[in-house]
Amino acid sequence: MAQATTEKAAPQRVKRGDPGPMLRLVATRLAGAAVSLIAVMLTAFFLFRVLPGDPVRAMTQGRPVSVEQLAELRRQYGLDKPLHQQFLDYCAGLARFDLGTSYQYRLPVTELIADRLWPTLLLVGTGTLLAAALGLWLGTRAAWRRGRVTDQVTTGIALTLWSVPTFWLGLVLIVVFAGGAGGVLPQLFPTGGMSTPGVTGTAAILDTAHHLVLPVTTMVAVLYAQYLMVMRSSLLDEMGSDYLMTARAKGLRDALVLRRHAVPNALLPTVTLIFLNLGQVVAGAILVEAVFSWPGLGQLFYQGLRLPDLPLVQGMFIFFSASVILMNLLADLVYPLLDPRVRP
Amino acid sequence: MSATTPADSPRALAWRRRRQALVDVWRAYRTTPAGLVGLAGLVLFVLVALTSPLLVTADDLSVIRAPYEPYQPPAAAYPLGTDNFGRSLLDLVIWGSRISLTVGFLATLVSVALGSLVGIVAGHFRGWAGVVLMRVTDWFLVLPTLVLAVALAAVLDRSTFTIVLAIGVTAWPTTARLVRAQTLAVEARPYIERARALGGGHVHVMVRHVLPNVMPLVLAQTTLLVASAIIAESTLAFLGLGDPTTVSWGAILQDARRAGAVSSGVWWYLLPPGLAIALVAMAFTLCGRALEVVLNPRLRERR
Amino acid sequence: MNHLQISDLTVAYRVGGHTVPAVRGVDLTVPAGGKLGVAGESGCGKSTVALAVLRLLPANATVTGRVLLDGEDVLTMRWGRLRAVRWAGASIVFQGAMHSLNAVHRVGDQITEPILLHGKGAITPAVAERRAGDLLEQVGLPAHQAAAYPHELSGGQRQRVMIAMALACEPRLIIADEPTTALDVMIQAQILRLIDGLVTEHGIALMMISHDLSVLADTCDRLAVMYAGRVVEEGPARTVFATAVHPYAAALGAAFPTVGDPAARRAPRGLAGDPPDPAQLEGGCSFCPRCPRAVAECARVDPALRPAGPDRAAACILVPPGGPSPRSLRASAAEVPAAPEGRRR
Repeated sequence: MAQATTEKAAPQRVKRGDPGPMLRLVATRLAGAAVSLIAVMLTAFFLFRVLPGDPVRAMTQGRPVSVEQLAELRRQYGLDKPLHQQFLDYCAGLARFDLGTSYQYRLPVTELIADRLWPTLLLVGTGTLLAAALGLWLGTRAAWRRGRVTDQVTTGIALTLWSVPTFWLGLVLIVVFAGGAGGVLPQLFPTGGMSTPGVTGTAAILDTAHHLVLPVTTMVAVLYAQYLMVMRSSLLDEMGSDYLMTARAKGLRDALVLRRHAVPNALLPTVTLIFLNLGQVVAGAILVEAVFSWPGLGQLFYQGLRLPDLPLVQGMFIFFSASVILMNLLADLVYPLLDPRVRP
Repeated sequence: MSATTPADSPRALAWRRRRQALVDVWRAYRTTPAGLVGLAGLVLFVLVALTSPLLVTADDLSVIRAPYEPYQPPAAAYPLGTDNFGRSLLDLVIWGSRISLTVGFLATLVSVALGSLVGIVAGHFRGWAGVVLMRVTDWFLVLPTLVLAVALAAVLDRSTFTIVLAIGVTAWPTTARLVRAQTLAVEARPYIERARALGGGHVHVMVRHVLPNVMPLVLAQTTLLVASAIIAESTLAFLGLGDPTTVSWGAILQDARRAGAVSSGVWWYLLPPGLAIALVAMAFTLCGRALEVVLNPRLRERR
Repeated sequence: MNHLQISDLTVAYRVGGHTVPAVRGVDLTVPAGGKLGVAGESGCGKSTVALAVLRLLPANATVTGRVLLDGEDVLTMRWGRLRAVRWAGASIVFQGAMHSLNAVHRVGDQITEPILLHGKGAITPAVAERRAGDLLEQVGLPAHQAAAYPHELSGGQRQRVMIAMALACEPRLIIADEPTTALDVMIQAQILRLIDGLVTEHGIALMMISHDLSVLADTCDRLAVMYAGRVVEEGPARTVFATAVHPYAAALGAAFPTVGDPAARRAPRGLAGDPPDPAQLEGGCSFCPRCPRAVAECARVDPALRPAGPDRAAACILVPPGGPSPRSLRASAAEVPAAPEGRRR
């Protein structure tokens, strides 16, 4: 721990509420995020325009397309221009939040993303919150009872679920709970989609919740294990700490020592890791949506891949990466609120 | 160490010490039940993959001249049932282990090599070069790995090589971070100072002194990475980005989904490949965690 | 009346199938308002004794004996009663206040926490806060420091916070476990004076633990020297420090020379060797291997505490019943060529 280094007089903070250092922190983080975003844009250009050689040929792979149609497509996507001109156009487009036009939908990619955003937010939000709550809770319990049966069972289950591919777990859940396990069970949940056609009003909310159960379960199963392991190990790191002895000496019951003293300290590294791993949440969403035909961004991405609809995939690559970078920026800015030691 | 004969060169000494360290690691490893279970599972799967050409013939895998009736539940002739063409799922899973394990190992090799290189260089050169390398690493660490791998696999030709590359170039940042931290620790030791004073160049220090000391932890990390690489392979194959002509566990699952095994409840088509992936990933994870505990004394008390 | 009475306390840790004794039959008493110093090298069991008083030892420790706090046996208390006694009956100033304070809570909140806890709802947060401010001022810190986080304070300030915290519930006993280790020498003196002054002023009993005999001699009325889990000498602080009868206590006293005393410069200081591994104690006096005065019998007889003069006791076979004169000690050491060769350096 950082605090272990010196016992000498720490500098006294004279002025509380001086906005200077905080502003500097925000500025540094913003600049870092901006550099990351630019790197994402460059990568996307390289990945989808330079690497494939001829993007149009890649997109029309295996379909009968005439030479004229190819030329028309190239002109349409500006691929007939020299590479540096393409790059300038690409940058200009991004500056206007224009992510290009989808090949298969013939619609602006931003519009497609906006349409599919809410279902994904619903799924990912519910899934992440549940997974984080479950992971932190079970991780805390496991660490508190380290080495006992509770700990072994909890970590064992977590490791098993971690080893299972997301999409396969989804498929198995469909077979068992939506397909009735080959007629053995009743059909408890729908096989996919987000709503039953024709259902309106308050019933529609329940209907969506009903559709949400299996996809969210899949996401939680895959995500929570990681949170659990991180929480467990960072709590174990805190376990021998002197301040916990102080807390016990004060006469606090064990539950309170854990909740008020150990957990807040252990949460810091865990929260950082949760945010660092947001990219994995995106991955989980893509797979879960593909398996459950959830009409969100993940499914849009999956459909874009099949063709492949390169402008769509490129736009979504930028969108996904940018959201993860922004979430990390947010984490960086929120972190000082949790940990007084890094407060500027 | 006073017992050694004067004929021993420093190098022979160093090798003896390393061999001794290896023996010690094995002794400690032997005492971890989970590690032994993982190792046993790992050996079993590798043996199956190696002997698969003896167990499965081309005819067994033929779609046109499939040996059995399609969609048969498990029976004596086909213990895991048959697929939509009438091939035995046991044969498919055995054959699929080759690609899945190969891709897992190769992708890990690529990412560990890349990660070690970046990590050692970033740890050795503390100036702006190191800073830039770590910034790049952090950037990769934050990016959604699967999206990047999928994008790579989508724009390149569909082949096993592409999959290896896509997983390899997206999975290295964790290794790089670990190796860098370890490099910093190793380079703080006095004998590095001595090597420098004796005129050892950058390459000499990195290859001769840092690398051998960093390797043990890299090994543990490698074992853990294979597990995720195998899962990643199956994921890419399932998303339809694999080589359509090869049989891998992920590809079998994709076939199963396309053939409608999910909606028709043909559970025996889905279960075996998924369980195989999970078991192999489990085995590697158990080994990796056991190794980590053995090699990193700080973790030992947490078991 | 004795406020704290420890009798025949033993503590053993189970470590990987072995049982390692840490405290082996310790008797200590602290009268109400009295000040007892416990000295010894690290690993001699003195901190274990301190933790045993509030039953704070880890789960792998087996404790036997009696620890009477205000007449109640702490070791057999129910959990609820034990929690009520902790901090309100006796509080602890831990060593190294750096880690003993929680880094993510303001120090004021850490001081009010036990006040509110033991106040059982009768004390409002506002009252507790005011009391925390008072306490901070008592230990020489401005009340507004309550809003500070531990990392914003210096080592000495943190130790002051720790002391304020220990006073929070007006306990009748404070255990100070190496309260000045890891502090600058100047700050050490300030903190010691602060503790001394506060306990005297409030009539609180004090049990201070340190490896520094001279510090304890300055602060405490009585002194107990521990070695390998036992009390080897006990008596009035000044006398024990000045004329220790047990060879270990004498060596420990000599390790901290009195400034300005020319004799201290010439006398041998320190002690060769390390304290014994508690897992491998053999029969005989545990100090025998390092003892400059050991005789053949020392390897066989494990001496119990025996009277060694007015109000003193020591665990050494060279101490004649009824108490020694320093001369007789020296004589007995000279008579018998001591212990195995090579061990007396």
